[in-house]
Amino acid sequence: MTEQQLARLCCEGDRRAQGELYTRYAARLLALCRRYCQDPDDAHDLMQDAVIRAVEKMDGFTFRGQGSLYAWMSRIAVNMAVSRLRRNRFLHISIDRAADMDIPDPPPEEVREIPKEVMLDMVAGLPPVRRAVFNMYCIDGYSHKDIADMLGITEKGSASNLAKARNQLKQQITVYLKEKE
Amino acid sequence: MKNWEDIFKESLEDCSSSLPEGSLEEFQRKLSSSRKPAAGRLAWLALPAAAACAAVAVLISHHDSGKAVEETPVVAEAAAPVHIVTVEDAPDESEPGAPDPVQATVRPGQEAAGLRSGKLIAQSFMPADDDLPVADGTDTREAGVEAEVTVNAGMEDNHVMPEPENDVRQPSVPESVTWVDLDKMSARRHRKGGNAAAVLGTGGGVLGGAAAGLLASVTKMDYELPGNMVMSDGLSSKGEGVFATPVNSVIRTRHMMPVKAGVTVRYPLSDRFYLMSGLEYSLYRSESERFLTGKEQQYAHYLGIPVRVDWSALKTKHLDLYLGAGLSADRCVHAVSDGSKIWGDKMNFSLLAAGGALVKLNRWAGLYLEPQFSWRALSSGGIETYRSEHPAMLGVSAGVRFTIGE
Repeated sequence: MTEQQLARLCCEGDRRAQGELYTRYAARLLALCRRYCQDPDDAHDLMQDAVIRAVEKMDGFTFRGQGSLYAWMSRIAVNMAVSRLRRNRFLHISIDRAADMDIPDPPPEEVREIPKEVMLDMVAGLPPVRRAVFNMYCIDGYSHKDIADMLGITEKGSASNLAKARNQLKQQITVYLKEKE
Repeated sequence: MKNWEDIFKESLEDCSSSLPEGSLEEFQRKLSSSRKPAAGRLAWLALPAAAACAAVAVLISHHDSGKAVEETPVVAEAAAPVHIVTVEDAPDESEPGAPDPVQATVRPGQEAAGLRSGKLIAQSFMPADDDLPVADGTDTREAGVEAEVTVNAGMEDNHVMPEPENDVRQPSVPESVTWVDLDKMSARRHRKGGNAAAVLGTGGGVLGGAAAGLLASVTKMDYELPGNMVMSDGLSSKGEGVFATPVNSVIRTRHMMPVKAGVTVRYPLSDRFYLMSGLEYSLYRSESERFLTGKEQQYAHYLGIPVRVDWSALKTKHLDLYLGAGLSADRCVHAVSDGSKIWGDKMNFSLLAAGGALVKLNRWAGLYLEPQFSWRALSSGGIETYRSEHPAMLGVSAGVRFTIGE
């Protein structure tokens, strides 16, 4: 079944098509949601809510080529993750010294050896706002302007959080690589 | 050469995570239940819709029966005695005794048409005691003196009646006397009606009927109250006379629609629902006219706290169109009438329904403008303002609104 057919059937309320949609894209969406949520259960709930939202809003989807359906659904998931983050933003205060230290970049070939699950855990371990900024900028390709608009911060704040996220990840990578040796 | 970030991106961009067991069934269960709470969502819409419909129903049914337009009261000048004219039938010359007199009240300008049954032979009035004629038997007929003698039933028979002349004399009432028409004292009421139609304009399906074609009757009442006169109780010691004394009562009152401004805060309950509250200021102005002292102004300043749930019908980067319903509590904090402070009233509660637009200045603050329907819970006492006469009213509020937690 093509993406267009799948989308059309989901619009019409075909339960089987909706199940097919979930089966096709849930695993990838879960990995995306794991990057935005600290807790794996929260990530799973977010993923399911995102798929349900996509099914409800399927009439708004416009096919733009192969892979556009997943790209559209991933945008929905990111928006929902950011929306939840903004609501709880005031509850989180991050204080860590490593964020301001200048830590050297880890060697790429060693970073390549790190398993994906460990990378996911490292990213998930970041404070909420830094986690969101890092994911949106470095992995999902949002600009600082878009990040600032979505998170309700300034572009300077976005850049500052990105720098701190990078430093924190570098420190975690360094520690992991040292422990691995 | 790729750095560690690029490697992170490559690894995490399209990776997959294993789904826990029962994930698909859980998803299907959630999907089924997500369709049912459409009714729950409609309940959120029904709340502002019900409040708006209730406000409209009260507004349309708010109808003063009004009283018929009547004549203006005749204002009597002070301390004028009432004249009583005595009419007698044509005397029978063979019987020189005084016939039974008929007394009648005569009003200025009134012809003696009703007195044609007899000839008007005398004018009577209530003189002071020392003016009473003395019955001394003097025959004034030949002297041609026009008799001005009180003739009343019960006077002694030996009182000499003057010879009636041929012409019927109209009773002459001094010009200084103004007659008081006790039967026609009434208030005049003048009604102006106007229609104001408000379109709440976001066109949510449930609120479309309440929002479009909304009519409000704005009634202005101009009263000319009869309270500018005070009637003495009963008659004077001589058994006649009604005296009128003016007092400084209100003869006309006009209440203006209030002006409102506020500083409010809203907090998101979900993507489209917000809880709104804050501080709202209202100014109620009234003009009244007193009989003696003329026009005076009343200013009443109210502070209120609205609590409302708003639904965003349309959200863009710079504009938010919304509908809301809730209630408000306010109280008069300061009121003056003609420069003198007057007593404020107790807490007032109102139901609110509103629809408006929020222009976002930045992410957290914006300027709002919203027409509001409010229905004030009835309470006695307090300062008379526009809201006292129109418990259900349409107003417009504007101000600054902050959004937190979004």
